[in-house]
Amino acid sequence: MSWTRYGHLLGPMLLERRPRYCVEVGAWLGNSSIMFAETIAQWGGTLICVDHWQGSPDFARHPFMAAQLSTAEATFRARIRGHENVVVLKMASVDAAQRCAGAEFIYIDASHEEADVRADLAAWGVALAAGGLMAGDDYGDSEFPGVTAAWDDVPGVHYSKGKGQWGLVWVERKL
Amino acid sequence: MNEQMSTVEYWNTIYTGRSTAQPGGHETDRFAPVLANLEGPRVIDVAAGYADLCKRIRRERSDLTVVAADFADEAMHRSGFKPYVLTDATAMPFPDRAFDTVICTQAMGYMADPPAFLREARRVGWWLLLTVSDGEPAAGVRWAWTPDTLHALLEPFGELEFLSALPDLAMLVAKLRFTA
Repeated sequence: MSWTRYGHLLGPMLLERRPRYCVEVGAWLGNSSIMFAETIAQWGGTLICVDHWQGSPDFARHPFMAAQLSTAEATFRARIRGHENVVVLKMASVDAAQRCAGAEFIYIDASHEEADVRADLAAWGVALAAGGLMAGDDYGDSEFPGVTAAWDDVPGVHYSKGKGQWGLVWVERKL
Repeated sequence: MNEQMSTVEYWNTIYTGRSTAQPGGHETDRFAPVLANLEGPRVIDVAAGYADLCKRIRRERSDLTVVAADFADEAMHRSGFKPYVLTDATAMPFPDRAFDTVICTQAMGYMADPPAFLREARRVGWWLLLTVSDGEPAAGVRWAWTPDTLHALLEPFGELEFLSALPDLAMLVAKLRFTA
């Protein structure tokens, strides 16, 4: 899903922190990527986009996502063209986390299966810099109960539900 | 190198100061030919160590996106430079042609398989800016090159824009445009 739904929340958080090292986990079509990239470009930030573009198990319940599988990576690349502060890590999320220590902002939006979200939170929680911010998508959405369940076990978690079912969730790693 | 150690462990030991050997790269003036020949906008410094060169590029070339890469997590962590990616130089997690310039300064001589690095650099980048020691390998260094041997090594990978010897620095510097 696109962060455009959360821009009024995430935008001020990013502007306040001005993170230079940002990671988007689950870039998929690049909708959020370009928003992140354009925002953090204001202060010279770099966005690492992580995806293997092979989809995730929850696609079985979301045929519209599965239908994008064959063209998603090409769509992403077309969208980020010209966004020169984007660097792509084409690999599985938890593997990428082991290579990206010290990230100041991490946006988790990969597989929405509970086990996968838990694995992402564990792996990227380690990669998050002290004082850094980790946020995620689709919290509280009844279509993705695993997202909510996994985030609910993160100490100090905050969330904001919107008018629909979706919601933004975030946690700050203490200094 | 202690044969009981992995290569990563060896370099982490050096970077954490537990060895008498010292990593290079704390002064970057000697890399002026690299700084002057960067192709942008995306640059990666492979085997970046403490990322001093990355920091200087960021200071002097705010128009470029710079990523530091090294397999020694201690070095990357201590560098304070962001973003960095932990990776082996011969198997990087980036898609093809992800970077305009691949930089590698004073590191290829330590690699077990320099041609494997060059193949990987060609996969992820369009240009290579390389420096190596000129002459006999120093202690702990596997390889050194003369202008002729470096030319022979690089030529199959692309078109050499320049290959210069800097005798005062005992260093060779080359810029290569990769070809398929």
